[in-house]
Amino acid sequence: MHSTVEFGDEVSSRAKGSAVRRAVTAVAVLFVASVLALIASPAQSADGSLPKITGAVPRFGVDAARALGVADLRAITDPAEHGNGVALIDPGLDRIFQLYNLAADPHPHALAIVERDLETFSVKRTKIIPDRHAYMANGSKGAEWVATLDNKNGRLIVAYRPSGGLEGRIRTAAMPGFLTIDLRSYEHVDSSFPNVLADFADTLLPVAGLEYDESTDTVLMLQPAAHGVGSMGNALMLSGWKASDLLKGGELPAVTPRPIRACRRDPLNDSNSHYLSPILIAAGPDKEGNGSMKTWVTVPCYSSTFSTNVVIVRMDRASALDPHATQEKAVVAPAGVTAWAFDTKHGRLYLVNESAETDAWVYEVSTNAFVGIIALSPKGIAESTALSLGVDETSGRLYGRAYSYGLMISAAAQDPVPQADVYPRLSAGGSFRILVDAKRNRILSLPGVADGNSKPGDAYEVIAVPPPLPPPVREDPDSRTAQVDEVPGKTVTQFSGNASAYGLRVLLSRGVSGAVPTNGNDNAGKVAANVNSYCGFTDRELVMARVSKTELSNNSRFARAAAVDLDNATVVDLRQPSRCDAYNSYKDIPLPVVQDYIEHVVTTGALGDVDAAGVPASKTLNDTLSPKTTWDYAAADCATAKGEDEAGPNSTPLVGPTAVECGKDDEIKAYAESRAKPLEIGDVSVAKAKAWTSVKKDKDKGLVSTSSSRIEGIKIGDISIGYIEHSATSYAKGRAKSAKTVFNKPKIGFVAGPNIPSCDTCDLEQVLKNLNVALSGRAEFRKIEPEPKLAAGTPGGYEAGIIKSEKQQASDNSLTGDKSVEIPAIEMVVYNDNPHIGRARQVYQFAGVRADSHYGIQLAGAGTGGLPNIGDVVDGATGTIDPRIGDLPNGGTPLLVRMPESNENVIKRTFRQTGDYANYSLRIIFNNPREALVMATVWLLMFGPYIASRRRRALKAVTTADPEGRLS
Amino acid sequence: MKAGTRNILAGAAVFAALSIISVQTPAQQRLASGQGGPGGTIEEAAGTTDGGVVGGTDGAPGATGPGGTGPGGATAAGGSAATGGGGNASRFECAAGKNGGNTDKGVSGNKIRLASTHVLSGPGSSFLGSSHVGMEAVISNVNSQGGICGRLLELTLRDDGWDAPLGAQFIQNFINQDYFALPVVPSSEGLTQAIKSKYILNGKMPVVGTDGMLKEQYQDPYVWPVATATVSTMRIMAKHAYDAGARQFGIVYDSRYKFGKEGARAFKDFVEGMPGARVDAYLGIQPGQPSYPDAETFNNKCGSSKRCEFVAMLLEPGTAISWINSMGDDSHGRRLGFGSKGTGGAQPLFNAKFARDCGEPCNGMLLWTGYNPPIGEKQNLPAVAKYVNDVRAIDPGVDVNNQFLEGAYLGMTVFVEALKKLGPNVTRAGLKQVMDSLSYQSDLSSPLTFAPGKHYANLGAQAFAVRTAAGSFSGFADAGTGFIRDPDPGKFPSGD
Repeated sequence: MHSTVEFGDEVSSRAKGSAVRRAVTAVAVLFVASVLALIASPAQSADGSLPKITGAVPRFGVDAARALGVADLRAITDPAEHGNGVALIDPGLDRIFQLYNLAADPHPHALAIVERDLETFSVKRTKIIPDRHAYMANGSKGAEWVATLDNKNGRLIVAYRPSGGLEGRIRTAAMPGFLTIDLRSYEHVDSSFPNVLADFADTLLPVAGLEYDESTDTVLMLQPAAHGVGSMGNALMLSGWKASDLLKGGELPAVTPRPIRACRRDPLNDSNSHYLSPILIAAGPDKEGNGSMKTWVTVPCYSSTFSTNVVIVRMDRASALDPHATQEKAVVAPAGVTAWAFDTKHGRLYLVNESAETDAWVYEVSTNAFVGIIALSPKGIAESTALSLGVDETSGRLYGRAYSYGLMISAAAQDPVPQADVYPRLSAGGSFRILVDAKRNRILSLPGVADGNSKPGDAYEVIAVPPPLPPPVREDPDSRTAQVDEVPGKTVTQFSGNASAYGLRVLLSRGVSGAVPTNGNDNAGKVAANVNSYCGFTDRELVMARVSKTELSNNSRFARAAAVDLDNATVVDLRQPSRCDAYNSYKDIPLPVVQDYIEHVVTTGALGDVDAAGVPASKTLNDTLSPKTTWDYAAADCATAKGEDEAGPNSTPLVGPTAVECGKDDEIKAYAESRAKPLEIGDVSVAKAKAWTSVKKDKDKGLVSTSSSRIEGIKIGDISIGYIEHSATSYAKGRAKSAKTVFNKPKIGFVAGPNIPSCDTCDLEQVLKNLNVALSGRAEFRKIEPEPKLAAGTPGGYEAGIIKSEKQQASDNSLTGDKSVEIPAIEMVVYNDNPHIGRARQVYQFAGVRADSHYGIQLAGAGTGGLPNIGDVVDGATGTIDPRIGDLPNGGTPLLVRMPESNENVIKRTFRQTGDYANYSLRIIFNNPREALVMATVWLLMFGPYIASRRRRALKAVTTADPEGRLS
Repeated sequence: MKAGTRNILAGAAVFAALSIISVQTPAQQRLASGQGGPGGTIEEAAGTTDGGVVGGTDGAPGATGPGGTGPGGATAAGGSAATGGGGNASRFECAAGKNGGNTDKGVSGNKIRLASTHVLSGPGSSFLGSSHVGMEAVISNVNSQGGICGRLLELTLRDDGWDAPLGAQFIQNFINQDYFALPVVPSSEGLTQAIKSKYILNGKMPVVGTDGMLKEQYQDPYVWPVATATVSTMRIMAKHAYDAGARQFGIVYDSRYKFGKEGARAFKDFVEGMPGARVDAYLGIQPGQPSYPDAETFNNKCGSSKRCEFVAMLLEPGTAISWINSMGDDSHGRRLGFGSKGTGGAQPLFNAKFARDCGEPCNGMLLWTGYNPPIGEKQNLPAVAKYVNDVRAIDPGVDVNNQFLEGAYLGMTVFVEALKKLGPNVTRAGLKQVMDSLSYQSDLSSPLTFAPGKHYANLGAQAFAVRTAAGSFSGFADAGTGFIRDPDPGKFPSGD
């Protein structure tokens, strides 16, 4: 009978309850399949998830030893050479190369290279070069080879030193030189240095920097010149040879090095640093010249003019190797630079300093300026010696790894420079370069510190990192205006305008402690760092005549004006002067000269009176001084009575008429003045300052925002300036060509002083030049350019304005704590940086203005939805799950991220997506059990009718087949 | 039919049926949503449709509108708002001239009138002062696309200086005037008083996208916050610190404004419920004082080291700066008043001005937010980047890290998305219906899901660290916590 019953077997099995078993089995199979898919999904770990260690590449691999034909690779290397096995990556060849200095049989003195595939890390080839040893930057403390890659031609250039020598000695037979290794053919050429690099016997020639310039196929080398060598004394020297010279082999042609005059002899990679001095070769506009694009050679070094500061020297590549060239532009860098990395593609150099915290200062070639700072360790923990750095030139990411913050990833090539995302679980100290496999979103990190005592770890850790997110494309601002005339009832106008201005703004970065000129002096720095005053290191801000806000839109209206504006910390300290009692807090510091000086200061004047009274207790100090110093001033704003400011007895002498006008619907105004008496701040004083602003909706011109500022009676040291006047106006009316700005050169008059050509009506550029010459080494004068696109106005007329660019804002904020958006007529920066207190800068900004107008005319009627969805934002992107889901600690909920798809094939994609979905499903179970349970219940309910119907049909079939309805 | 064929067909049928409820990844959900907002999508929560009833009872303001039919069904059906099951809703089309015109108070054929209070003056302006920029940015975006179903959005703002009675008065006026709804309402103090006075409830005035600072916002059926509640943030902060090993806690809070008192209570209650944890220093301070002699008292309560293991600051920025500046330093030169194992700040402190004014003492302090701010690689998330782009189109100098600005932008966006979902038949009842069944996902925050009686939609918060470099504030950094879920969601301290 069974042969005629189609579902007989099923009936039988169901009757025995195997439906449940089948369901359970099916679920189990699905689960196992999901897990397997998850495990087998290689893209999952590479494309995403939190950074995690996925493998290792040993320094002394058995496979490498086997390939080299030795039993134990470690055993035949010199144990003092901690660089053995340290690797370089050639992304073009997709290979990783490990270098070894062999020191025992069968290769008692040879350089070995082990080539591995970058995807699988399997050994591909090996090469042994007899009688040569490579060496690390700074020898026992170095963490990278004195080598450079020519990625364009697939060559590795390794500096060698001869057997038994250091870097080499002049006029000895064994000269140092280069090995140029063709990474494709594995052939190599040996080139020795010429005997002319320094004209002095027994002079060491350490290679301080080495970089291959792919734009000219030249290898550039940086060397400190020997002391006492005539024309070459006390400078860093830059030399270069064409690749063709290297490929000839033998002694390289004689060259005369170019002295870099802005540098002292000492290279940046001094005895404590791990890396070669960077030589960054990148393109950027020549702003001091005609603005044309040039290739620049950029070298950081110790400054020959600023006593302890590091400077970054930028030279035109075209003349960089000309020994007679003098063109150099130096930018002041942080003191205490200990490590660095650079990104040729994005033209950025990262200088790590640890004078306050450990942080990376970001220098950009195209603007020839620092554009940000990335924090790399918490306060009080100097980690620069155990910090490894790496750069992904493809995405512009900077990687760092240290004990405190763990793995750090910053999209450092972006503007503004973001702080690093941190992954503390991957903390590890190290000093070796982080190698980047951008293609597979992973990095190789070798723990361990190269300090001559410690050794590197036994293997590179392979860390999968989240793929970088591409910077989004900015929308066209003009899309906010419909290019139609305004018609009541049919259009709506959306406008907003802002204006702000100030007369004089003073910012003391690192507070009053930083204002004390230390000139890099060690003791002075210690004093500044150790004075235990509560009010010493807080950044201070004082602004004379400030309109901080004037805004008008069709939705809101507000203005605020202050004759004198102080930062909050100063307000607190003025109320409690004892917080700044340097005298009592200073007594324990054993520096008699400075102590005497402070005693002299505090025993005169008000402090002296208190001291003389014999009760210099804080309460007495406060009781005595506080009534005279408490800041009793309130700014004017639209919410204050009559729109006027309010001054008490302490502040009245400092303020002038200050008020806002907020009464009209289509216009708002503000005015601030500080004029009562000259206010001396350091070496700068101003007799009178005023600022005035307005934002007005004009029938013909649209929204007009105006800001103006004028200061008079300025004294900077012995130099006097009669007045500086500055103004900016912006217009926008929502129609083509209506958006524009008027932003003329600031007016400056009656400039006079020692070594300064006097003028009544002066040219700003000339004045800046003269001031920079007259106060060279003490201060730097500069002007700030506004955001160019906004200054030009958008073509469609939506917006125009004069305001600091986002990049400039970020840079100023990072470097000096300056968060202002106004464009000053002149900015003066005084550098008091010191290794003990770090960056200590005084910023003086004269006559700052800002104005911007935005005006959109919008047409009713066409809209059916409103906003574009997210898919319109990133071109070509499709959605995938943020791989970080589920790895978030503490039950983190999913974060949606849209990742760009890679160019994987269908099979790979299918596997990966299977993994994705299984992964997601599993994570639902763990992250949100309640939701998973609900879903499971729904699934079961959905299955119910199907199972029931199958059972019914089967039973029917059985009963049809067996009239008695017996179950077998 | 052969058994094998039947099996295949049955399997296919089951698969088709199951596919309706198959697991969708968030990205799929977003892709599937089509008309999502700026980085967001909308979907309906199942089982919450009661549009007919709501429409029937609340649709009345529509003497000029669709009356009892209401739009609820239209939106809850999950399809086109214009063609859903809302009866008369089908008479209208999502287009100018066909949208039904004056469907409710404050709604006409070509615009929807909106109003809100905000804070440009007073102590709250230091963190709420730019919220209107976020609102204007979204409105500008919507209007530049021609509005919603042919209606432009028109917003009226009033500065109440964060003054509760004045703010409540403004809100009462708005209700009495010809406005359709109150989006965002950045001024939380006035909103709270208006809620407590039942102005919102009695006026049936929808308030959408608020900052969630106070519990009242979660209890009024007409208010839908998008932010993580202050009480949630404080519990999350405490839990994170506890998990990091802190057992001795301190909190200084604003004793004048309600967010401080409420948040502090939630913090204290939660800490004291964790094994071995205690709150040793619990201090409320009056905001706006130039200095705080109480600082020493606070430190002394933390024991001989004068430093609690974890310190929470529930203050507005100006007060927090004065508080911090009133502290002395310890023997290592480190500022007192901060925790030995960590310091946390709530959302009011999450702005660049606070971090800059604080400087080095705040280095490493964790600030908590319910959003994804444009920090680190998150600045490249599409919706986050769009947020930055949009607000800078209104004010290029605005601090995009201010979390109340981002919250206002998100709140306004959610409001707009609800209007879009509502379609042409714009009524307050319909808006309520949509909001009570709304689930919104975007890069700007963790997913938001509203339901009737459950308006605490944002349940997570994540931390970002203040970073100083070379002694001054250099930016915020993602501290890698991810969104941490409120351990007691929806729980608010009792009493006032």
